[in-house]
Formats: sequence, structure tokens, C-alpha cells
Amino acid sequence: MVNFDNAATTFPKPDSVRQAVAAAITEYGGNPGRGGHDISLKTSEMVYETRKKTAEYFGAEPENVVFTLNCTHALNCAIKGIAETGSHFIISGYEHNSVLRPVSALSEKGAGFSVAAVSPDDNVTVRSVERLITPKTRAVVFTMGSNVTGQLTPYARIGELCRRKNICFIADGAQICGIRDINIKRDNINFLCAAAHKGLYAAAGTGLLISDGKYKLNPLIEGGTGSLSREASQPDFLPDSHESGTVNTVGIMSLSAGLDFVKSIGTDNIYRHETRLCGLFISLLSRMRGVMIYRKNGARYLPIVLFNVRGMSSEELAAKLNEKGFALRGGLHCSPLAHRSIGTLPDGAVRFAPSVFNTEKDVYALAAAVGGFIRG
Amino acid sequence: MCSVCERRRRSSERKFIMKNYIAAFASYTIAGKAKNALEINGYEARLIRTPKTLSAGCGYSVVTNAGPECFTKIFDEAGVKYRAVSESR
Repeated sequence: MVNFDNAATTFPKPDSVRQAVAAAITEYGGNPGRGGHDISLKTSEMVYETRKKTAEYFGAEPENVVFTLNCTHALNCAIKGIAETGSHFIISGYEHNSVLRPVSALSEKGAGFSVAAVSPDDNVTVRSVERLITPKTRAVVFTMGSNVTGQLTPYARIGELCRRKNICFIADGAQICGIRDINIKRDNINFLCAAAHKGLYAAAGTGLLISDGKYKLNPLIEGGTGSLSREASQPDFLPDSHESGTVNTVGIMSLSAGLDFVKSIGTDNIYRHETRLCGLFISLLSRMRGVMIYRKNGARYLPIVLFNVRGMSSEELAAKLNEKGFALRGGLHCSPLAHRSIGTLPDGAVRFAPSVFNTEKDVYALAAAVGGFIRG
Repeated sequence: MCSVCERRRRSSERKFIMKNYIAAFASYTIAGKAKNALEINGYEARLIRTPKTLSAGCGYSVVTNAGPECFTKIFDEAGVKYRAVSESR
């Protein structure tokens, strides 16, 4: 089976990640930050070193790196944690349900939200955000790159706009981390939400919420943190305020190995390799009649290609490709808002998302399979 | 290591006494950052569970051979705040 569904989660994982997961089970069995014995201290040190490594990779401070379950969890922490009574949010027209549903839930409690259209022209996108700002706007929540089409947004410029207007900027980095160089200070991001199990090649169940330290978030849950234990109130400092309960040490150790893997290859090299595969796939599909590729002139893309074959639903095409040994995802990709924006409702489309492990040979074979369905 | 700490270290060696300090922090993460900052500045530092005599509730401390005037400056520069401090031998 060849996996081209790496935008959902990367697979396979590097050998070093597999080894890290095994080591986490066999060598790092303590509960980090929960005791003074050597088993706990050894695990605590590993967690801290991973926190520091992650902070360095994204230009943050170690204490501002929160380990979460996934990117959705991180986005919920940021969105619900920053919300105040009557807060207004601005989101993009490309948002995943991990953003749409939290702001929709908040809007039922009085907070409203507006949707800014994403254009291939960055100036138009930034202006569309600016026009929606009201005195009640508390935060702008924007994907950095669409999980559906891969289209990049002008996130650093939107962050700069938010900084000028004193509005919190929450960036959904689910698809971009590990593929493009991200620095939260340079890119004007107040909260970066990321999925460590995608472009950072960590195990599933591992996400990141990274703060620049400017805004305080109310926690979603309270509980044991291993700190200030005699106090009934939750610690108000990161990361403890947002890490109640035992953290996912197996996932954290896999993230450490995943970051090393990405750094050893180089983010730019990963981006170039995957983008080359996308270019090849597009050129092969373009020769076929009845294939629709959803890309806009002038837009910049992460290595994702969204396509359909005329006369066949996306789910049907994905199922047929599965039978031929190719894993691709059809349907709505948990992003009905994005599919509405690009005009692929109600059936959605098929998403091609390579990883560093895919080859040109894989792409030629996939394109041949798609061509076979068209012919007959 | 700063000149004050270096003189203190030599003086301690002559008297066969090595005076260390314990700085208590609210969490392992803050203590870890403090430990790193001390090591970058050439001091010894290790993490321990905060002794009961130093702080109520859970927390971690850094044992260091840096003097108070030095570690205060280093912690300020690193942006970490200790909750309590005591001498340790």
C-alpha cells in the first residue's frame, strides 16, 4: 500500500521515531514532573529537552510550549481560552472543523464570528480580514495552509495586522509545520497550533500549542500538574496551566525523534521534494480528459493536490484507488467550509498528499491507476 | 563563572567546604530552564525535588555552585523567577 494521505497523518514514520517510541516504553517509564526519584527525573528531563528542542525550532521559549493531544485540542485551548463574553472572532473561509466548530459553539453563547474569504492575491485576503475587524474582535483564527487544497495564506501579514490592531492571532499550523520554516516571532503569531503527527513525523496523539507569551489563556480543564499542589486553584503559568494530568510521554519522545528527522533532511528539502511530486502528479493528470484539479492561478501551495474525475464521486474514486493499493482521502476532509469556498460541495474531492517517503515511481503508478479508471 | 564566584570557589576549596545554593521553582519546566541558563554561564547545576523546608507544595529546585548575586542576574536574563532560596552544603 502506498500512502498519499499524509495530510491526515504521516505514514510510514522514520525508523528513529519507531525506536523512540520503543525507548519511551522501556526506558522512560516515570511520570514527568511528579516526584523526585530517578525514574521520574529521567522522564522529566526527556520531556523538558523535547520542549526546549520544539521551542528552538519555532522560535519560542520552552515554557511556552504546551503538549496537547492533537492540533484540534490546541485550537480549542486557544480559541476557548482567549474568548471573553461577547467576543468576536474572524476565521478564514478555508477553516477545518477544528476551528469552525469551536467558534460556532462560542457563538451560541453570545460570541459571534465572521468568515474572511481567501484569495489567490494576498493583498485581497489581508484586506478582507481587515474589513471584518470590529471593536469586539478578540482574535483572528487562520489556517496557514489549507488542509484541503494546500493553498497558503498570508499568515505573517495577517499576524502583523493583528499586532497593529491589538488582536490575538491564532494560527492553525496543522499542515505547514515541518514543511515550511515557521518562527512565531518573525511571523507575528500569538498562538501556533500544530499537529506533531503530520509534518513532524511524531506518533498520533501528539499536538502542540505554542505561545509567544503575550496573551493569557483560560484553561479548558483543571487538575494535577505536579506544581503548587497545596493550592486549590490551577497554576496560572505555562505550560502547567494547560497540562493537567499526565502528559503523553510516548508521543513527546516520538516528537523529539521526529524533529531530529525533519532537521536532518531540512525543511526546505522536504518542501522541494514533495512539491516536485505534486508538480509531476499535476502534469500527469493534466493530460487526462475529465480530470479536474483545484488550483488557482497566482496562489501558492503546500504540497497537496485536490482533484476529481468527472462522473465519479470522490469517495468512489478513493475507494477504487484503495483497491489498487493507493491510500488517498475523498470527501470533505472535515472542512465543509473550505469545500464550499472552492465549490466542491456536496461530494468533496480526492486529496493527494505525499510525504518525504514517496517517490516519483509511486506518483507515476498512481497516475496510471487514475487514467485506467477514466478509460474504462 | 564570574570573578566573585571564582573567588568564592577558591576560598571554599581552601577550607574544604563547597557551599552551594538551592533555588526553588514552581515547576520542572521553569527549573529546567534555570538549570540550562546556569550551565550556559559555566556553573554546575542539578535538579532535585524541592525540599520541604524550602517550599510548600510540589516543585523542583536547582542546586548550583553559583553565588546569589550571579544566579539572580542569570535567572533575570533567562526570564525565570525562583520562589525561595537557601544555602546547601
